[in-house]
Amino acid sequence: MNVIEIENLSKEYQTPAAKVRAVDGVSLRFERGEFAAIVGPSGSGKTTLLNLLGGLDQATAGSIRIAGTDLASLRPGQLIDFRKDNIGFVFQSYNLIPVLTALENVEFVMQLQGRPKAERRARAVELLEAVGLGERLDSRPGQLSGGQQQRVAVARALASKPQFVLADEPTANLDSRSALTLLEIMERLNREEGATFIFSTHDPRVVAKARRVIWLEDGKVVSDKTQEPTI
Amino acid sequence: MIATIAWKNIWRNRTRSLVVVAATTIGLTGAVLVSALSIGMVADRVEVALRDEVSHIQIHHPLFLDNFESQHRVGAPGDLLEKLEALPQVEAVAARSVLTGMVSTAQKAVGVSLIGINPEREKLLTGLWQSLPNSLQLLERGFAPERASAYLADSVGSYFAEPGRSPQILISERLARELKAQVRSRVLVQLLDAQGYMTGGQFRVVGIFSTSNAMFDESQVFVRQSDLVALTGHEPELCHEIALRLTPEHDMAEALADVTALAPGLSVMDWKTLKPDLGLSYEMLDAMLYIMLSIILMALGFGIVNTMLMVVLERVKELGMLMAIGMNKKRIFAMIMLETVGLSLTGGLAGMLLSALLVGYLGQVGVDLSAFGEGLEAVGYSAIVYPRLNWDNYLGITLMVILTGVLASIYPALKALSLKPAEAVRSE
Ligand SMILES: Nc1ncnc2c1ncn2[C@@H]1O[C@H](COP(=O)(O)OP(=O)(O)O)[C@@H](O)[C@H]1O
Ligand SMILES: [Mg+2]
Repeated sequence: MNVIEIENLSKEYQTPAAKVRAVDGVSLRFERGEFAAIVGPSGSGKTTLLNLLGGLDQATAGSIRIAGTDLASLRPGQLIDFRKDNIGFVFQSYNLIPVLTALENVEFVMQLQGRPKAERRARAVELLEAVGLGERLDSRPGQLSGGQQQRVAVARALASKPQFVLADEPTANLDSRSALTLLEIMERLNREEGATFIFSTHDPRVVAKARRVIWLEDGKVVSDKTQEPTI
Repeated sequence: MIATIAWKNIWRNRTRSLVVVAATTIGLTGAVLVSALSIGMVADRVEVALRDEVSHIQIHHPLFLDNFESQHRVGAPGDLLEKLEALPQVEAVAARSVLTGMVSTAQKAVGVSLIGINPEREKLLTGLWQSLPNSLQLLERGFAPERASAYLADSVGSYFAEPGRSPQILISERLARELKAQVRSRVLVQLLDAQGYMTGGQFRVVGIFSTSNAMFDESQVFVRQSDLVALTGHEPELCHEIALRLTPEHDMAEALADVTALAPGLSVMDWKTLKPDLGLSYEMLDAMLYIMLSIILMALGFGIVNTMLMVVLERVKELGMLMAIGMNKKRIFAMIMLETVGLSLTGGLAGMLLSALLVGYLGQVGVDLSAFGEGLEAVGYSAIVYPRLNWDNYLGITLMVILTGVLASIYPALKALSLKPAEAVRSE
């Protein structure tokens, strides 16, 4: 079953100089359980595409359907609730609330969903253990390394049991060892929990971990292939 | 959870928050202290006026206060006094006759109200007897002991000390100066007798009093009720005014109701009605406190708006992330508002704690304002001021601080809401 259906999607930015087509007529389908990388040089439209997909921005043309819902049909307030329940986010940085502990950060999204305390706590602990931070539950983001912070962000993104997780260059600020560890954790959660991941990157070693690679150039999909990931 | 985050956020930039807290603390303490001083000053004045001049409640014939005519009297005062004394909230009661007349010496004649009192009863009610300085007070004022006794003998006298002798009168220092009278001087008192004929008699000045109220001093002289009755032929129970002092923690509405029930057909008034200016000064000071606070809080509020705008600008990416993961506008708004209110309330509570301590301490030891206000004592205010503030003032201030926080948060919170998540989360 398709989780995401993107139809002829375009996004134009008006700059003083000219119109920029950051995303240009993209059509894509994603199924449940995918582990897909969106790859392309800087300025190719990766962030714009992911922001559209996450309902953070509005398309100029085309449509996005997520689990049957057309994002364009949602009012702003509904869109926020839709994101809360259906989409997990991992950004390049500033993922966490600095004044909360790792555990509280992961619990926070579930609290927004109104889940009971005991359930929240249990799932947050389970997820933090799954990303290898079972010992750092009570650490604040400032006390964690960059790689550890991104792992908390992955746990947080999965906490709400979303349809899929969008990660925009999650390894961009990490050294290569932490980057690979993060990818391995994401890949394992993808297999074990069946979580769908769509992430952007321009790091070839990260690309090698993906099972599907979508190449963007000037806002257009120039290649879309499945591959055997390197272990 | 949102409240916890908001509170913790306040302390992310400790220095900046402490600067805001310190400004709020100092501003509030200043305003509160100035107000407490003026309230203390007025409260002292009101207390003196209550003790020496009006008491808490007065009873008259309904027409008496219109033109002080002697036929508008309180009937059967003896009975009434007894019943009034039995009331639970009443501490002391005294009846007086008030007749208009003239006091004169060879030099001068002055129109006055002759207040006929029962000296023993009056002593229980008012501080008139204390407004004749005693030797101790004179020594404190710096009199040499040998001069003090002479001064006491010639210029102060005593409060109807020796009963039974010829008619006695107490006049004020001001009047004594005007009449060029001293203790032991004889003055002529003239007034209408019970039949309405002019009559007169010699009174001996036995004491010279001085209160802080010039009007009171110039217009009233005190004589013994028995002397007044003997001179005018009025019945011994002649009474125009009954004054009551209530217990310190009295309930005025209840006391008024009790007294009114015992005095049918008579006018019963509390001190605020009798002397509207005294009651008014309290209310005015309350208003002043809140006006002053409004101005200070407005200034502080702009500082807080500025601080919170900086906060929002610093946290653009974080706010974008929060919106992305599903924090709705209401929660974002609440978070910024709680952070702002928390910040101002921290300063507000610190300010009130500090002022409560200061007001408490200075209220015990007093503040000597004599260096600043030579004229204070001349108009009836004491130079040593004991600042004070009511608990409901502290509550009012707290509410104002919260309101300031709420108002100051609106603009920064709207700024936060206007962020577009797609722009905010971009890493570039
Ligand atoms: N807010 C904007 N206004 C104008 N142009 C923009 C804006 N955001 C992105 N762009 C342009 O859109 C194109 C795609 O950008 P982006 O999606 O960030 O690419 P990537 O993430 O692959 O680096 C770039 O040319 C960029 O300059
Ligand atoms: Mg990008």
